[in-house]
Amino acid sequence: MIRPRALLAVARDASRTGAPRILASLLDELGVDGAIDPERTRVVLGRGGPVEDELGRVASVRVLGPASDLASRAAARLGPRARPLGDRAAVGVGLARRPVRSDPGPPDLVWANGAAAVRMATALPRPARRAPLVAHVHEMSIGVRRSLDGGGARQLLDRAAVIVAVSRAVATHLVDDLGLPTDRVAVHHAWVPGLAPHGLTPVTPCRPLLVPDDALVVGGCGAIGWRKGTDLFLDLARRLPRRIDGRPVHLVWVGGPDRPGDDRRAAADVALRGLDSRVHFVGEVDDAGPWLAGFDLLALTSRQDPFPLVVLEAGARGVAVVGFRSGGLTEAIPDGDHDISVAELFDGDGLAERVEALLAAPHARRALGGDLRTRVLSRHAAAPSVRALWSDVAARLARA
Amino acid sequence: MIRRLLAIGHDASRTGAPATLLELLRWAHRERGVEVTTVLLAGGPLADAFAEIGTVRAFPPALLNTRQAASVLGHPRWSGPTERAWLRRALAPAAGVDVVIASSAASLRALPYLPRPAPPVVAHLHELDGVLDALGGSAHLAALAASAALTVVPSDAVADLVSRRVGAGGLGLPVRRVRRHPEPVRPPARHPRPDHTGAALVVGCGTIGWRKGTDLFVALAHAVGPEVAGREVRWAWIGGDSGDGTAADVRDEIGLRGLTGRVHLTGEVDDAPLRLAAADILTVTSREDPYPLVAVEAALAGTPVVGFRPGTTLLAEAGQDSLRVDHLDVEVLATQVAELLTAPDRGRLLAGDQARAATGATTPLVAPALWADIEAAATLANGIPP
Repeated sequence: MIRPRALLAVARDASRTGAPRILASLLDELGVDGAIDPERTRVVLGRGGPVEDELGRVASVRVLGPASDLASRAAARLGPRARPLGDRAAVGVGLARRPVRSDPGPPDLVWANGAAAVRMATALPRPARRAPLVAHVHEMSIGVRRSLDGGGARQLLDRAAVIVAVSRAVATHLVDDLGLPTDRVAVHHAWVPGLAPHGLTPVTPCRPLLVPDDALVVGGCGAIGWRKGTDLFLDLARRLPRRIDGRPVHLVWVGGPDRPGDDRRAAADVALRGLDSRVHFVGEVDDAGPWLAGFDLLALTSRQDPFPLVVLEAGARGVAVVGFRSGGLTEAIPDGDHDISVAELFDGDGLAERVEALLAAPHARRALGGDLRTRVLSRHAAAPSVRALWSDVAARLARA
Repeated sequence: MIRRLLAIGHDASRTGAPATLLELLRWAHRERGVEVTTVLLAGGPLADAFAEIGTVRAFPPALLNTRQAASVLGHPRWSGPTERAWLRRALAPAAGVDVVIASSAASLRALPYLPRPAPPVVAHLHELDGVLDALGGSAHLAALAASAALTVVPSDAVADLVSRRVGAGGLGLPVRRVRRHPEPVRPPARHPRPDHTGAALVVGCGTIGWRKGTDLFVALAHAVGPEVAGREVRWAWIGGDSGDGTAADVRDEIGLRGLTGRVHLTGEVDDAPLRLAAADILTVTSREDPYPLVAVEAALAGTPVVGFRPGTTLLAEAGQDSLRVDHLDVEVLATQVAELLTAPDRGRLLAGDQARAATGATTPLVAPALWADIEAAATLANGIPP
């Protein structure tokens, strides 16, 4: 283990999505292990969010705020060459508006959490730019392109001394498509925040009030919108029978809107598709655990999901998962279970057949959930995963 | 008799409401010699066409930048005073006109800035619930719409909405002040029809976004497949970006579904009628669309129209209600598209029925009746005996 470091983490936001929660867990575990110095650990966020408090418990947090976007956007409109200057001005303005009480000095390491944070990290003041940069990439091709505005993704990521990919699917994109050197890309799968090797604390399962007690519940979880495939979840609802073995089939989605209005649009789609009585949106919740525990099956309908945290969280509670082959899902689910739980992307019939078969076979469903739980507990507990990640990063930094 | 008119348009884009307003103003100027002033609350490609028939006062781009900057800074109200000052100046000519036409729900928001006493107002509303919600909800708009002497709507769905009580999401307008008129469409020139031996072309049209169902159009292309009856099938969506972020999603969706090269987003184009006429089929995939002009234009050009129930009022008017697809069921619509491509003669028959229904929405038939209602309302409101 290397000496406690002064770490500066940069992230786009503190929304209750996978990447910010993983960052909070990472800083927490590193602080507990003594790998980083909590007094000299800082987090710079582009925007705030519900995970801000969690980050605030393990680091000093600064939020740049929307005004800092102005210079960046204005510069980007002038031309691509002006963009870096605009980014620097934006970060500079944001940091100046929210000064820290005492300056802990230059960081030993800058941790860019997500592709968008890499751009922010390159715009930090000079002392921070001199520190080695680790990019923790949670996005696949579309996410990287959108976060880094298409052009320049390779150049920006190339500045990182170490690039941590959250799945082999992400690493493949970084190496094969963007041409980043293999030896700088390390694959470390995500972990479940707070998961100890013996499992999660049991919770009381939660279901929407309108769902009958005897219903079979197929769940979806994530930000409502295109990327997580909420529309494909509704398509699944249309394909599923209303009852299986005499039990009503209901579908429940947990999560708030990805973009403003996405929740309203999804609700309108439910009505237009005539699914009002069977599909329920819960909205954003503080803790998805009880809702996941209330699912009979989790359906992952994402179009691109590099390594879906919700699959691990459902698995940790023994909930079986079925989904589209769209990124890291096949890396999370045991190889032997792929045939019964993974359909090709956009194969709506294939997904519905798998869901229906598992809803009709409680033993098979429980076995699938059990397999996943065993795998998650053995591979995705928080402390061992963070230790393995940090050791690897430290070794790679030492070599660099 | 209306001699002078002031029209308020929410923008000058090539979309339904501005196009309808432009067509009505052209007719009134040409056939009735009406002097027209148009106030545009945003710009767009039709601005020059509005300028050809009268004075145009368009929202200045500088104010638009101010609004954007205020929004980015998190204080959207900061731009309010300058915008209100501009509106008052732009609407000042209303003091001397016989009637004001507010051409959409968004245009109603300018009404409080008319000079007092305000001339009679005719509201021409084309929107359904989703748009009203996006504009701040029905209660806010109801108060504005209540000042209109007459409200003109294009379909029964909009008529129901505007006359529904405010508590139930409507505008609470009395039925006697609501008139239904199809939106005037200029009869198209004759266009060459597609050659049924080459690749088939299926088009969708409208602003790219959720409301027009561009995502469903892409899913439809995926469901139909690359070929039908040995003919390659190509897809084109005609229309610009709505700016709600869905255009990027649609582009990525095309890539993820492996449709690159088969599905083409044309962007906003000048020759949309020609493209509609050159297509084998127009699909209307809207989730909310009370009376899509594009369906009328396509039908008049001889292109068969199919689609989901919300955007296919024309099919009902053509006696083909059973063809309207419910529940946004992409697979049922895909089957219809495949059948029409397999049997082009069926498409011709369908197009013939639809063309007959669409004829009732052409300007020469619609505009005089609509104008008569506007004149009657203005006369009554001005207290002039008819």
